Amino acid sequence: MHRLVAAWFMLPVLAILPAQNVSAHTGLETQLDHVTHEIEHRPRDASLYVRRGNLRRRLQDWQRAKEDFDLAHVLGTSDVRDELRFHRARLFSDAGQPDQAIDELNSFIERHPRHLIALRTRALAYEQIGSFENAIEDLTTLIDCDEPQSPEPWLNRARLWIQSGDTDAAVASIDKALNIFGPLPVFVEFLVDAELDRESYAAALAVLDDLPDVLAASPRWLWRRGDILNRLGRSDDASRAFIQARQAIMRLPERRRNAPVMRDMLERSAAYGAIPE
Amino acid sequence: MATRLKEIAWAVIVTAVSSAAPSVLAQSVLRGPYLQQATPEAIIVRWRTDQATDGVVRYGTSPGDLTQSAIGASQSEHAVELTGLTPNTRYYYSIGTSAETLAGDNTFTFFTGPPTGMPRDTRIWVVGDSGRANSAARDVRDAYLDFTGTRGTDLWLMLGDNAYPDGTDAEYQAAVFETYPVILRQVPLWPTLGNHDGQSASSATQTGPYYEIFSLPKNAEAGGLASGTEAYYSFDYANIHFVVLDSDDSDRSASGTMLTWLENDLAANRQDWLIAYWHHPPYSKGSHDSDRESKLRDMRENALPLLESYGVDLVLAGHSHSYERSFLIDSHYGDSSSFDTSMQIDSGSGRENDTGAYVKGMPGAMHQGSVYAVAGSSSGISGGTLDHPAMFVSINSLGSMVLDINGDRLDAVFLDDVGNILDNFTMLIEGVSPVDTVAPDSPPNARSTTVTASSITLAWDAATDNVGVTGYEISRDGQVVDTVDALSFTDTGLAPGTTYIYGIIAVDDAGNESPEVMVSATTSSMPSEPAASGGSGRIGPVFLITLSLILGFRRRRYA
Repeated sequence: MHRLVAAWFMLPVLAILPAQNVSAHTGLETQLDHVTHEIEHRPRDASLYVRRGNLRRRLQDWQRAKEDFDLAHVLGTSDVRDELRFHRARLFSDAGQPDQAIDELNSFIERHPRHLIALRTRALAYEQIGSFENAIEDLTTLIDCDEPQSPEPWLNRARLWIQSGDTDAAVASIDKALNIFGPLPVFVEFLVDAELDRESYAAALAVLDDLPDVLAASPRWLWRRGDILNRLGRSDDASRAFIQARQAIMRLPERRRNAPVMRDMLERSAAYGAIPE
Repeated sequence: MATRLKEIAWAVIVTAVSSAAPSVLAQSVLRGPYLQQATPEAIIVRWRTDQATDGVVRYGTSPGDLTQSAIGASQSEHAVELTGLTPNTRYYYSIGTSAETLAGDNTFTFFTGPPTGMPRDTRIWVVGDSGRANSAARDVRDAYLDFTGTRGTDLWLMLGDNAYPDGTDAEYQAAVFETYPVILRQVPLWPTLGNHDGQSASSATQTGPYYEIFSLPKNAEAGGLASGTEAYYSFDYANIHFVVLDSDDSDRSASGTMLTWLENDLAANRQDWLIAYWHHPPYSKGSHDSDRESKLRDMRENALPLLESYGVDLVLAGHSHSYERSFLIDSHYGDSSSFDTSMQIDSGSGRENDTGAYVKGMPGAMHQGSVYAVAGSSSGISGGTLDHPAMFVSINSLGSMVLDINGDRLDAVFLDDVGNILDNFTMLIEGVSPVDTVAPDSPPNARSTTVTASSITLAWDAATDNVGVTGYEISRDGQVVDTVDALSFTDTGLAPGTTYIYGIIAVDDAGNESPEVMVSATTSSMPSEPAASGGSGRIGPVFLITLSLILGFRRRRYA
C-alpha cells in the first residue's frame, strides 16, 4: 500500500514528460471540452470525472487524469471506487509504472477474477517487471475464460515460457492451440522457430510435414524447408526443396511472381537447378 | 436528391415495421439486416430483434419467389449463413422467424461475386472516420448514392472510427445502422477497427461492440490465410486480395503475431491486385501527424516494407480527417523529412488526361510502387498542415473514395459531400488476364411451346458468347422469376385466360447480360389438355423496345 501511495504522488513528475499526442488528438480534445462542459452543469456526477480522467489518460495528461480520478473517488459510490482501481491501473500502466498498476489490479481482479482486460493489463505489467511466472498465470486464466479465443494470448504466453527457459511448455501449449484453432500460420511459424532455436531440426521438419496444403504449397514454406534441410547437412534434399520453391513461384500468376520477395527468392535459389519448364 | 429520398423512405419503412411490430408481430427488427463475409457462394445475413427467436432468411433469385431458406439459432443477434449460392447472381431475401417474415421487399437484395480470381468490373465504396452520425455523414452518403446511381456497389470498406466517440453499441446504432440502412442490406461491409471503436473493444480478448457486431473471416472463410482473430483478416473478391489490419489494438511490431500472419498471407496470395487498409495512416499531415504518433510510425516502419515487398498496389487509411493521396511511391519508411524524389516511382498525377496513369508490372523492375490514401473525412474535417511531401494532393474536405477495378485497371476518385470529384487517378498493371466485358447474344428463336390454363412453357435456342453462356434469366411481367441453365422453362401457378410477357436474358460467367428477348403467351381460359404454341409467340423488336420503355421491364442489377 505504501508503494501505491508513493506512486500516486509520483504522477506529477510524469506530468512534465512530453505528451507527444496532445496536439494531434483533436477528437479527444473535443470530447474533453464536452465532458468539462457537462461537469459544469453536474459537478457532483462521479462518472463524468471518470470519463474525463480516461480522456486525459489517453492524451497522456497524467496529472490531470489523476486529479479527476481523485475527485471521482471522493464523489462516487463504492461501485465507482471499485471501478476506479481499474482505471487507475490503466493510468499507471500507460504512464510506465507497472508495479503500481499491479497493485491496483490485484485488488480489482480479486473482485473481478474474469475481467479479461484487467488480466491482460496485469500480465503485461508483470512481463514489464520480469515476473514471467505471474504473467503466465494471468494469461492462463485469461485463456481459460476467453470464450471467443484469439491466438495472441496463446502466443504471448508461449513466448514468456521461452523467455523463462521452458521451451517444452511453450511447444506443448502451441500444440494445444493448434488443436483448438487449426493450423494457423502464426502457430506454425512459432513452433518452427522454437524448434530451430533449440536446434531440433528434425522436430522443425516434422512441423512442416504436417502443414496444411495451402501452406505446404507456399513458396515461403518450401523455401524454409530447404533452409532447414541445409542446416541438417542434407544438401540434396535441400536442393530439391529449393527447386520446389522455385516451381511454386513459377506457378504463381505473373503479377505475384514479380513481387520483390519472389524475385529475390528466385535469384537466391539459382544455384539449386534450372527453372523447370 | 432522389436517392436521398429513397434512403429516407426506406428508413421510415423499417422504422414503421419496427414500431408497429409489438402489436402486430411477435417481435420487431431493431437493427439491420446487414451483410457480412460475402463469398461467391455464401453470405452471412445479420440482424437484431427485440426478443430471442429463431432467425430465418428466405431467399431466391426473384423477389416474388423466395423459395429457399436458411435457419439460425434462437437468439436476438441473428447471424444466418446462406450457402450454396451461385456466383455472379442476384438474390433477393427476407428476414424473419420460422413463423413469419419481419422485413423484406425488393430492396433486400445482393449480388454474389464472381469465382475467385476471375476479373470483374468491381465498384468499391470507401468511407473513413464516418461514425459521427451527423448530417455530414449523411451528405457524404447521399453524394455517393447520387454518383453511383443504378450502378451497384460490390464492396464497402470502412476504415475505422465507425462510431464516435467510444464505439459503443448505441453509437454503432446511430452511426452505422441508422445512417446506412439500405446500403447495409445490399452491400457486404468489410470494416477495420479505429481508435474510437477500440475504446469499447479489445482485440486481444475479441470482446466489445465492434467484435460483437461484425462477423469477420478469421478462418479464411473468404480467401487468404486464417488469422485466427477478427482483429485482422484477409479476403478475396474477383481478382483482388484485400488485407485488413488492426493498427489500434494489436501488436504492430515486425515480429508480432499480426505481421507474422501477414507475411504468410501475402506469400500465399495469387490474386492480381493487392489492397491493404487499416485505420492509422503511415503518411499524414492532417489532423494527425505520421512523424509524431507511434501507431502511425509503427505501421509505416513495420507493415509497409512487408507489403511493398509483396507488391501492394494501394494502401488506404483514415484517422486524419481529410483526404491525402500520394504519388506512386516506394521504400519510404522514415519521417516526412526523409522523403526524397528517388522514392517517387512516378511523380505525376496518375491522371490519364494529365501526366498519364500510374503503370506497374514493367518487366525487370523490383519495387514498382504503391499509392497511399488517407480518406478519413466521411463525417468530419479537422485540418492539419496537409503538406506531407509523399502526397500528390491533400484536401480538407468531406468525402469518400470510390474505386473501380476492372481487369488490369484501377480508377479511383475522391468524391466530396456534394458530388464533386476533387481527385482522381488511374493505375494500370501488366500481367493480368483481360476482363470479359463482351455480353452474350440474345437467345434466338424464343417461343412458347406448351400452354395450359395454369402454365406456360418457354423454349429458345442456345445463345452464343465469346467465353460461354452460363445461364438464362427469366422474367415475367418485369419481375425475375428464375435463372436456368436449360433451354426451356415452365412457369406454373398462372391464372387462366391471362396474357403474360416473358423476358429471357443470356448471362455469361463474368455477369455480362445479353439484350432481352421477350415472348408473350396467354393461358387457356379453361383447364384443358396442353396445347402447343398456345400464345401469341415472339414479339417483334420494335414492339419490345416500346414495351420495355412503357413498363420499365429492364430490371437493374441493383435496386
